[in-house]
Amino acid sequence: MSLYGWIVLVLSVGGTTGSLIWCFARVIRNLGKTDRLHATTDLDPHNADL
Amino acid sequence: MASRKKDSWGSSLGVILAVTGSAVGLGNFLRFPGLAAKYDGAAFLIPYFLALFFLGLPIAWSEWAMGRFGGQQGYNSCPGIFRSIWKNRLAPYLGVLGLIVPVVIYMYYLWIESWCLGYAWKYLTGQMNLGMDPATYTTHFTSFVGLQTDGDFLAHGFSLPVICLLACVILNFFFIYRGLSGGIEKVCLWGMPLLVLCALLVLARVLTLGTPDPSHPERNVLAGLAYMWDIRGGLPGLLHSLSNAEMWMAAAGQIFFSLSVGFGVVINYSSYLKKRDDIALGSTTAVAGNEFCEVSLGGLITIPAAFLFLGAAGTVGGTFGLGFQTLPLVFAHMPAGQLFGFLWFFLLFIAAFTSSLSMLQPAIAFMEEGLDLDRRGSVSLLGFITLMGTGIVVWFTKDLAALDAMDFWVGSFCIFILATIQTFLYGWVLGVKRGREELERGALLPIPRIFDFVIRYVSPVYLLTVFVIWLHQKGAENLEAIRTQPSVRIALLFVAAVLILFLLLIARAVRVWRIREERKP
Repeated sequence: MSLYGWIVLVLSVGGTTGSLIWCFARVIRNLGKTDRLHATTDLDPHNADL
Repeated sequence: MASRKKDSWGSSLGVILAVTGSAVGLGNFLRFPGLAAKYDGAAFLIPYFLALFFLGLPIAWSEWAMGRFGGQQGYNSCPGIFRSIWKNRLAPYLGVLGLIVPVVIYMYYLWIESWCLGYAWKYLTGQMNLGMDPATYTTHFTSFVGLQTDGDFLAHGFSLPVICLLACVILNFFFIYRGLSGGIEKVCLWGMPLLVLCALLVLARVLTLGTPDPSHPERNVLAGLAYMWDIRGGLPGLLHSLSNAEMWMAAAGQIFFSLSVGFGVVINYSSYLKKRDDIALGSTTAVAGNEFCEVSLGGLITIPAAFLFLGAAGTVGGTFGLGFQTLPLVFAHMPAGQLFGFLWFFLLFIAAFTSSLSMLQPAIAFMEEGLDLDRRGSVSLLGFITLMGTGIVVWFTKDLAALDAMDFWVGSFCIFILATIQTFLYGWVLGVKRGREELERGALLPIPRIFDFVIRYVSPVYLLTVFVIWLHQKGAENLEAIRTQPSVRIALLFVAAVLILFLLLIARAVRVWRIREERKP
């Protein structure tokens, strides 16, 4: 495989894998916070009729 | 309705995996690699990633924002959400596409899902030792699906293909009935990691095959990877490939269908989120998850594996040809091929199952909020309608005529229309200012400012251009099929009947919503 091929492979596979890992790391880091938020927003009186 | 407990997600991770599970399907592992191989490997990736950034990602963000916006007004279905965004009498009726698209796709997708289950079962029980003759695998697929004559699929009573279809029907309705957090979310929380694990095992096998056939030293792992990822013909070859308009259309179409934008599911799923839940990071993560499965897993497994054993000739063929005829032949050549064949078709089954599970939820939500049906009632009614549709698809099996007709007119044509409507609603009716407020509330990821311009101007133009050219390329032959094939006419008449039924139900739901609003203090 040529150098161009390796660059395309590394950029494509690395880019999609890296962005998934980065996004998931942020999701998991904020998991506790957002799940606690659910509990408080459930009590929002403006949403009580929904 | 006020007394009914609303469906909701158990966790933010659950909704992300559910959306990813809905998007990841056979197209990620079969269609994308097939297109990349067809359009000169690396050259295909340029229009592909451009379409991701200017079409797929912006529409995904806007769908999540509109869904949560509608959810805050008390609506979870497309007709209700569209009505809450656009105060126009026509708006809820345009939302019919958000119901009919997933419901009709479910009718034939269930059948394809059952093929994956059947092949996985055959590999597990050692029934796929069919030898090295490619014709045997074509004959096997033809017989499994009943391609030769209409009614062939059902002609053999309780054969394995029929049992697999029934198993898929039961599995789907069991988990759909259990609801969002109790059914769909739980399946995706377990299913998606399992899918990735199976794919990684198959990938490890493919990448460690070396040169499997010493009589063909040119067929080695590096050559397989090069066939998929290299720039063929250097820079002049790349420029020549990029001048191919058909490739640009194929790339945009792949992104569009792969991410399931304009499908009616994402807008429904995000409507169950709370007011301050993040949607920016969630939607981006779901897109990243889909791209990982498509580019990193599908791109590294399918074409390199086919090339290793069959050479360049093995990489051609449509989604079904590559998946159900070529790859079984590849597994026959591969050491421990029965095990890896099972893992491969099992992961395809999980991909299809997590997609099909999502497809009835938009219509269930509509029946619950518009017709005051409970989950049991709405699942039963939809079960009856979709089983009739699946019955038509599995009866008219000759050359997959009914399946192809539904896939073209609903699974492609209507999706384009729905995505265009959604882009218009977000960019021009809800407005990019209010849309951004929605996206940024609770956001754990900043959305670039340029998105406002892209979703308002670039995405609609991109979308309409792709749509018009695609219709020009494919429309005539599909219109001809309606004229010449009675099975296509019957399938589309059934779709039209379901469309009319949903329009009537929307008219009733609008009356119910109006009365409810008038009674509100």
